[in-house]
Amino acid sequence: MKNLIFLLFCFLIALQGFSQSSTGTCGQVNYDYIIQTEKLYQTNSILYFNDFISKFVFEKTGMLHNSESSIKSDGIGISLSFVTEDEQGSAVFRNFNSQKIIVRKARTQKLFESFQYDDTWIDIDWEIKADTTRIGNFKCQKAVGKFRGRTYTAWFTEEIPLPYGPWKLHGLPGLILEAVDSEKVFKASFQGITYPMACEDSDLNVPTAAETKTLVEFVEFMDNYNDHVLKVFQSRIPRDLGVTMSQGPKPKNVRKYRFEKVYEWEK
Amino acid sequence: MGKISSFIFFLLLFSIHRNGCAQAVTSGSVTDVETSKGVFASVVLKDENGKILAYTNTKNDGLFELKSNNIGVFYLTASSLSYQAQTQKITIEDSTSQLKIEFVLNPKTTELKEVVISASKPITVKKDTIVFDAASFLEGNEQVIEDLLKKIPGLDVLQDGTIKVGGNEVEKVMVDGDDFFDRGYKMLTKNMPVSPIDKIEIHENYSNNKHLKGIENSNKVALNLTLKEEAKRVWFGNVTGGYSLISNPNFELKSNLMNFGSKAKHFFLGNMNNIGYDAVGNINHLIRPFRFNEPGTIGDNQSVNNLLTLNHELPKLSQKRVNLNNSKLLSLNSIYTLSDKVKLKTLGFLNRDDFDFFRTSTQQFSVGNSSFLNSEDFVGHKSQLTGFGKLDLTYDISKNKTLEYVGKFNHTNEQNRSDLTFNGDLLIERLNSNNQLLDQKLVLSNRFQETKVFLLSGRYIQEKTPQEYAINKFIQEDLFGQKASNTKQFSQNAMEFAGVEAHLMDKKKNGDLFELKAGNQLRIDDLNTHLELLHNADEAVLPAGYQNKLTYSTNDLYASIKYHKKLKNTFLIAETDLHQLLNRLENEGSVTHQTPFFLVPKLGMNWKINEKNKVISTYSKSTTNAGILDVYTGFVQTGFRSFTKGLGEFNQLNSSTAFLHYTLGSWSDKFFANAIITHVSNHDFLSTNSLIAQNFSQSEKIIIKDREALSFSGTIDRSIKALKTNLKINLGASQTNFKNKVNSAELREVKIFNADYGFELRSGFNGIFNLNLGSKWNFNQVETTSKNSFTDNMSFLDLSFVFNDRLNFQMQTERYFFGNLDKGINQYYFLDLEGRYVVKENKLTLFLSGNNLFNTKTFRNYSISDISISQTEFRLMPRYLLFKAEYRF
Repeated sequence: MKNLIFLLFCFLIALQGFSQSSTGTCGQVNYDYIIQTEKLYQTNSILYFNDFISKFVFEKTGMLHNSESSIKSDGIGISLSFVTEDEQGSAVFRNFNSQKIIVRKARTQKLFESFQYDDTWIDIDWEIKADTTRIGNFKCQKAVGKFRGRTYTAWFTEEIPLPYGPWKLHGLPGLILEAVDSEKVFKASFQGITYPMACEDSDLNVPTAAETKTLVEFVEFMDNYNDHVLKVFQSRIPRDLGVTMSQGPKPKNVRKYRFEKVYEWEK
Repeated sequence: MGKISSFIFFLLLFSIHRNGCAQAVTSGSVTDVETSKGVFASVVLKDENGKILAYTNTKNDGLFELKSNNIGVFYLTASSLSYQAQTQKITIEDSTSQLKIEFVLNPKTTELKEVVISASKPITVKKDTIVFDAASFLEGNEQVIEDLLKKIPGLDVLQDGTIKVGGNEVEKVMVDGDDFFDRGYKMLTKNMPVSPIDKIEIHENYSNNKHLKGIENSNKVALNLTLKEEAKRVWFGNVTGGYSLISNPNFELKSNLMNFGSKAKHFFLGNMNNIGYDAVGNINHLIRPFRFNEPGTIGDNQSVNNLLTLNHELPKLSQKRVNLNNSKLLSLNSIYTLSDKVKLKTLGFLNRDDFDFFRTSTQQFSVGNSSFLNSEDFVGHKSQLTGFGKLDLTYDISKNKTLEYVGKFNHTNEQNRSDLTFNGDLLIERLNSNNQLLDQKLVLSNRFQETKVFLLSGRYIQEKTPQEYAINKFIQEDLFGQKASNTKQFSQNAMEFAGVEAHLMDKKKNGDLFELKAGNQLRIDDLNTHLELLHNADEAVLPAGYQNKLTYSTNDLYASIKYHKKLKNTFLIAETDLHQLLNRLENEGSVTHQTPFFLVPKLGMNWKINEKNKVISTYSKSTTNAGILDVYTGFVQTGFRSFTKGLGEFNQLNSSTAFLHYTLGSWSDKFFANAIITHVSNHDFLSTNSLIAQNFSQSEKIIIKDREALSFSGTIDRSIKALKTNLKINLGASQTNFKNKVNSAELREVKIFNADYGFELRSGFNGIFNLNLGSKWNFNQVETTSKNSFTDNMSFLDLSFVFNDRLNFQMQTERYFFGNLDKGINQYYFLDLEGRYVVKENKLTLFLSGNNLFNTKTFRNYSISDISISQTEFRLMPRYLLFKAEYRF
C-alpha cells in the first residue's frame, strides 16, 4: 500500500510538473549571433530563461539591426531591402518540462508573414572534451556535438548549471556561452548574463505567429526560399527593370549556408 | 505488488538487454528541501580529477537516471541555478550496480551579472558608420566590388549598378577616404577587383562636407572602401569589345585601367561606340554633380544659354533606337595626397561625338483665317568636341577648419551642318557653337562649436557661348521688306557671376535645426547679336530691330531663415527668404535701374498618419527675377524661320505652388495606391505675341496675368495571387490654361489637356519563363478658337528566359499606334533580343544583342500645338546584331 501511495505521489508530481514556474526566477543571456543566409548577418540575441523554459530570441524590434527594411519605387526604378523583424522576434522556444520545441520566424517585412513550427525534440549527443577556456569570469569546458548535419563546438560553463544554449543547441551540464560550427557558418558568442531579473522584463511566452507550418513545410520553404521571394517580386517590377531582371545565381547546394543541412528523415 | 515489481524488473532487464551492454545505473531524485518538490537540475558524474564521465538533467518530477561504464569511486553533483549544489561520493562496484541517490537541495540566491566585450567582429556598428570586414563576406566567386557589395546586408545593388542603402542612392564610393567620381561611382564598383579591399564602411547620415556631420539633416549615405596595405599600387582593369557583322558595322570598345596607392590613386578609362550608347551621360554626374539645397553650393544654378540650336529633336524612343552616334571618350583621373593636410584631385576628359539626324516633317498651321502647310526634309550632322578639367585642392587648416578650392574648365566646340529642304527650297545651314567655362569656388568651413558650424563660400564663374549661324538662302522678304541672297547671325551670351555666402547652422538639443544664411550674388550678362542680310557675299545690311548689345546686371542681397521642427509623426519645415535686388540694364547707351524687394515664404510638411497612410505636402510662393533672355529688345534668330525677342524691361514674376503626395499601403502590399496633385498658379507670367507666316514666325514676350496648371497622377497596384501576376494601373492628367496673342488678334485663351492611362501585367512564374505586357494610351487636346485632339497607344510584350546562371535570353517587342496618322503609316513594330553567356565567371562573358530586328527604318510622330498640327518622320538605328566579349584582367 505504501508503495502504491508513493507511486501515486510520483504520478501527481509528474502531473504537476516542476512547480517553480510560479516562483518565477527569470534570467537572460545576451549573445552576438551570426545568421548566415544569402548574406552574412550579425545580430544581437537574447536567451530568456527560467527554471525549465528557455527562449532564444533574435530579430525582435528594438534589437540591433544593420539596416532598415524598405522598398521604394518611383515608377522608374526600385530598391529593395528587407528586414526580418517584428514585435515577438524570431525565437526558439523550449519547454524542458513538456519537451516541446517551437520555432518562430519573425515577419520578413513586406515579404512574408511570421510563421512558426513545432520542431522535433532531438537530444544532442555531446562529447565533452578536456579543453577549458575562460569566457568572462566563467570557466568553460569544450564539448563537440552533431546536430542536423553540422558539427558544433560548444563552450559551456558548469558555473551556470543550466542545459540551455543559443539557437537549438542545448543539453550540456552548463550554459553554452559560445558555439561555432566546423564550417564557421554558425557562431554565437556570449556577451553577458543577468540573473535574476524581473520576469515581467523577460519574455517566456509561448510564441504565436500569423501562420503555422509543419517542420517539413518549413524545410521546403527554406530550400526554395529564393523562388518564394522571386515570386513575390517578379510580378511587381516596372518594365524597364524587369526585362533585365533575373534571379541571382542559384547556389548549387541550397543548404550550404544553412544551419540545418540534414534532417532526421533524410538520413 | 510483487507482480508489479517483477514486471518493472523485467522491463529494466529488457531495456538493458536491448542496449547491448551492461552499464551501471545511478538513479534517484533531486528535491527541494522545503517543498519536497522535484527540482530541474543538472546531475553530473565526475571522477576524482573532475573529469565529466556522464551527465543528465532531472526530468519533470526531479527524477534522474545516469548510466556509466566506469567502475570505482566517483562524485555525483546535482546543481541548479537557484539551489546550493550538492555533491555525493558514490562507489560503483561493477557494471551491474544499481545505485539510488537522493538529493535534497537548499535554495540559494544566485546573482549573475557579467558582460563580456568581444573583439574582431565581422560587422562593427558605430554611430552613423557600419564597418564590414571584407574577408568575412567573401565566398570566393567575387571579382569586382559590386559582387562583394551584393553580399552585404542592407546594401542593394540594382541591375544597372546603382547602389542603394535603405532606399537612398549612395552619394559616392570612396577608396581609402578619397572620392574620385562623385555620383559616377559605378565606374569604380563595376571594375575594381575585390582583392585589395580590407573593409567596407557605410557612412549613414553622410555629409559631403565633413564639418556638417551631425548638424545638417542628412539622409545621405556614402561608402568607403579601405584597402589592404599589401594590395596597394597594383594596376588592374578590363576590356570589352563588340562588333556587328550585319548591315552597317556597329561596334563598341571600352576599357578601364586603375591603380590605388596611398600617396597617389589613378583611374583611366576609354570608350568608343556607334550603337547609341552615351558614355558621357555618366560622366556628366561628375562634371556637374547636382546637389540641391546643400550648404556651400552657391552658384550651382548659374549658367548661360544658347540662343540658337538646330532642331535636333528626337522622338520619345529609347536612346539605342534614335541616337545615331559615333562617340569616343578618354578620361584620366588622379588623386594625390601631398601631405596630411593637403590633398589634390585632378580629373580630365576628352570627348568627341558625331551625330546624324534625319527628319521629314509636315506642319499644318491654322491661325485665324489663314492656314498653310510647311514641309521640311532635314539631314543634319553634329560633331562635338569637349575637353574638361577639374582641380580640387583641400587644405585642413585645423581639426575644425577646412579650406577647399575647386576649379573647373570646360571647352566645347560644336559644329552643325544641315541640308534642309523647306517647301522645295534647299537651305544649307551652318552653326558653329562654342562653350567656354571657367568656374572657381572657395569654401571655408568652421565648426566653431560641437553643434554649430559656419560656412563661408565664394564663387566666381565665367562662361560664354559664341555662336555663328549662316543660311545660304534668304526667305523672309515679307518680314524684312527687302531682298537678300543669304543671312548670317553672330550671337554671344557672356556671363560673369560672383557670389559670397555666409551660412550658419545650429542644431538644437531636441533635434530641431535652425539655419541662417546671408549673401550677395552679382551676375553680369552681356548679350551681343548681329543679324546680317547679305547681297552677293560682300554687301551686308544690318536690319534695325534685329541687333542687340546690352549689359544686364543683377545684384541680389539676400537673407534666409529656416527652421526644421521634428515632431512624433510629422516633420515641419518653415522658411522665409528676403531678397533685395538691384537690377541695372544698359541698352544702347541708356541705363535703367530697378531695386525691388521681396519676401518668399515656404512651408512643408511630411506626415505619416500610420503605417498605411502617408502624406507629404508643401506650399511655396516664389518670385522669379528677369534673366537676360527676358530683357533684350532686338529680335534674335533662333531657327531658320524663327525670331524671338524679350520684354525690354525688368520684371519679377510671382507664382505659388501647392503639392500633395498621398500614399496608401506600401509597394509590396496586395493593394498599393499613389496619388500626386500639383497646382501651380502664376499670378503673372511671360507669354508671347507672335506673328506667324509661312516663311517666318516672330514672337515677342509679353506679361499676362494668371495662368493655372493642375496636374494629377496616380498608380494603382493590385496583385492577383491566383494568376501569380501583378496588375498595375496608371492614371495621369494635366490641364494648363494660359493666354497668348497670334497675328495681332485679341488675346486668346489656350487650354491644353493631356491624359494618359494604361495597365501593365507582369508574371511571377517559377520556371525559366516570364512575361510582361502592357498598354498605354495618351490623349492630347488643345483648345483655342478650335479644338484638336488625338489618342496614341503603345503596347509591349516582353519575354524572358533564364535557362541557368550562365545562359539567359530576353526579348522585347513594342507596338506604337498613332490615332491621327493615316493607315499604313500609323503602326510601328520593334523587336530586340539580348543574350548572355558566362564562359568563365568574372573573367570572360559573351553577349549577343540584336537591336531593331524587324529593321523598322523610320518612325512617325503626330503632335498638336495651339497653332499647328505636325507629323514628323525620323530615321532610326538600323538593325544590328552585335557580338560582344568582356575580359577582365
